[in-house]
Amino acid sequence: MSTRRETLTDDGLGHVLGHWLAEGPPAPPESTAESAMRTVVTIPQRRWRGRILRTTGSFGLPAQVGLVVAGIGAAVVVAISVSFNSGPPGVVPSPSAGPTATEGAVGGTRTFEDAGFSVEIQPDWSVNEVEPGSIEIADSLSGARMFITVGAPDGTLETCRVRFFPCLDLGVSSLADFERSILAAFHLRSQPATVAGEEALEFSHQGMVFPTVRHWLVLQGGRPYLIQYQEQRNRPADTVPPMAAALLNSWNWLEPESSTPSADGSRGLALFREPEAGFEVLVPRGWDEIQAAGSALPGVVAFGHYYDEMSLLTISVGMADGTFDLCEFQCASPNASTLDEIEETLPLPDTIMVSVGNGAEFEEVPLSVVVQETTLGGAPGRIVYQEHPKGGLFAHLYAFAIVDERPVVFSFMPTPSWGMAGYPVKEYIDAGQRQAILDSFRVLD
Amino acid sequence: MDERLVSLAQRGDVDAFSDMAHGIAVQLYPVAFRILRDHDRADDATQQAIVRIWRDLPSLRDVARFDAWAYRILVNACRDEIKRADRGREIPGFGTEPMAPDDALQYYLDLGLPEIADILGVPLGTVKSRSHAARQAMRAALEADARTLEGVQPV
Repeated sequence: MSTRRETLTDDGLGHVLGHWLAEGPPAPPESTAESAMRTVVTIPQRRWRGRILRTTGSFGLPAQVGLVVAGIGAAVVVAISVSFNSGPPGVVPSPSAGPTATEGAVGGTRTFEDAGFSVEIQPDWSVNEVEPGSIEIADSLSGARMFITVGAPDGTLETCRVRFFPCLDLGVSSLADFERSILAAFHLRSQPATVAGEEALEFSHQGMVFPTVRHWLVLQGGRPYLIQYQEQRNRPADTVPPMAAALLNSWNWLEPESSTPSADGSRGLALFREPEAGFEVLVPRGWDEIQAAGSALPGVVAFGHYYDEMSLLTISVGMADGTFDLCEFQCASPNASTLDEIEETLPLPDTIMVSVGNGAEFEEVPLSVVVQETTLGGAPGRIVYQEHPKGGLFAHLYAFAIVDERPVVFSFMPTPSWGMAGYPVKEYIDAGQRQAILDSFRVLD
Repeated sequence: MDERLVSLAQRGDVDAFSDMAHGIAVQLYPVAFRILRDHDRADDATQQAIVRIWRDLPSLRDVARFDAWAYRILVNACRDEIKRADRGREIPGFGTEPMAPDDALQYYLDLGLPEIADILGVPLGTVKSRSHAARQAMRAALEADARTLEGVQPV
């Protein structure tokens, strides 16, 4: 008996494949979407900052560098995954390839002119100045490493070389803003610290199976320094003491400056220009346009941090006929042609409930209104706010003016938690920056 | 996918994305299964893809291209699953070997080669050559099986 074997044609092969692929379940398990959603609600969306234009460079880094603003929460995730894959203790993946300016073991005082500081380098430490403002110091005995990233005097910190971090593009306008924005958003606790006399924030991620990663953020003369310390697991007890203490204790600033904000209030600000909004303005770097109450209305733009979508600044630009939209507590569309008329539209409560005693009881306290003269977009304007009985601001600070015959209202929100239990709030932009923001406002033609 | 929901989710509306999630899972899971040939891994890859879709949704410029974009994310999630499994997996049996994403997209979704190239983010020529090589390999395997079966005599 003879057998004839046929070669499969393309159609025949397609038929076989199609039949094979038709096997399998047509629908996912019931739990698939639910399980994914449980993760989804815990992570922020990645947002690109195409509309925030950089006004200043830092350390000559390419201005066109593709930037991802990613928080430290993401960095922690990265740290975790890198730690899982980093091999045996003491073996740490190197930062992305780049020119090595200085390398090798050196003892004694080491001065980093461009970065503006000096430290004592111990004999067993090696220094790798990857690029100006990006310095790695390793302890060959303990395996501990420190990575120092130095920002620019305008408060910007832009790097893709910080170990464990995705690319960073931060505008550190103040320690409080950094604490409020990056750290609080990702539930990383910080504590006050000092580095060579300058105020700093210390924060860390520590796990049972991961090496301890500690960070210090310092602002010196407006320039942010992010100092990262990674201590390896299984560090023998008889090796040198943690290098972090040794290094930080020997830290010296080349030009000691107070951390008091400089006279240049535009430090840490970046230009927002959106033709649809019809205006341009400087906003703190790291803020972005967000969706908030009223922001869908024409002429209203809300700004905040992309990951929590809490409005920190809302700008309402009205029409030449005096109408404008204001969404504070509730949305309204009043009409105003003078500063007094704008002020009348602002929702300013008469009283506040303040906690007393052990905090379980409240009493109603009257709120006074503070009015100051200012300029906004080159026009005479007014600042109106209320003080909290326990100090600081209560809720919003309004700044408004008539610019090019249009009513313009800035509503600064000191903190998103202002309504909770009547506690005073923390301001995170100083008066100089606020005025720089107001001065930068310009209606686009 | 409902473009209105995509737009809302793109602006951070979790509720809108929640409304989309089941539909995305229904759309992606069968493809993941065809690529991975394993229920649990397909489930994992689908969940990973949904999370990544949420995370990266703001970067999607054209909501009309959501489906192709979502498939690309799924294919990458499947590749990650395969890499993870390759580190300590058993030798799969017939029909359980992961399938090339190109083939799953071509034969299961009945997509054309240009669409597949778009989804996978590779040149059209690459997809064509991969497709040709896969067909040749598949044909050889099927013909080899057929020859084996010819030699088996009933007991």
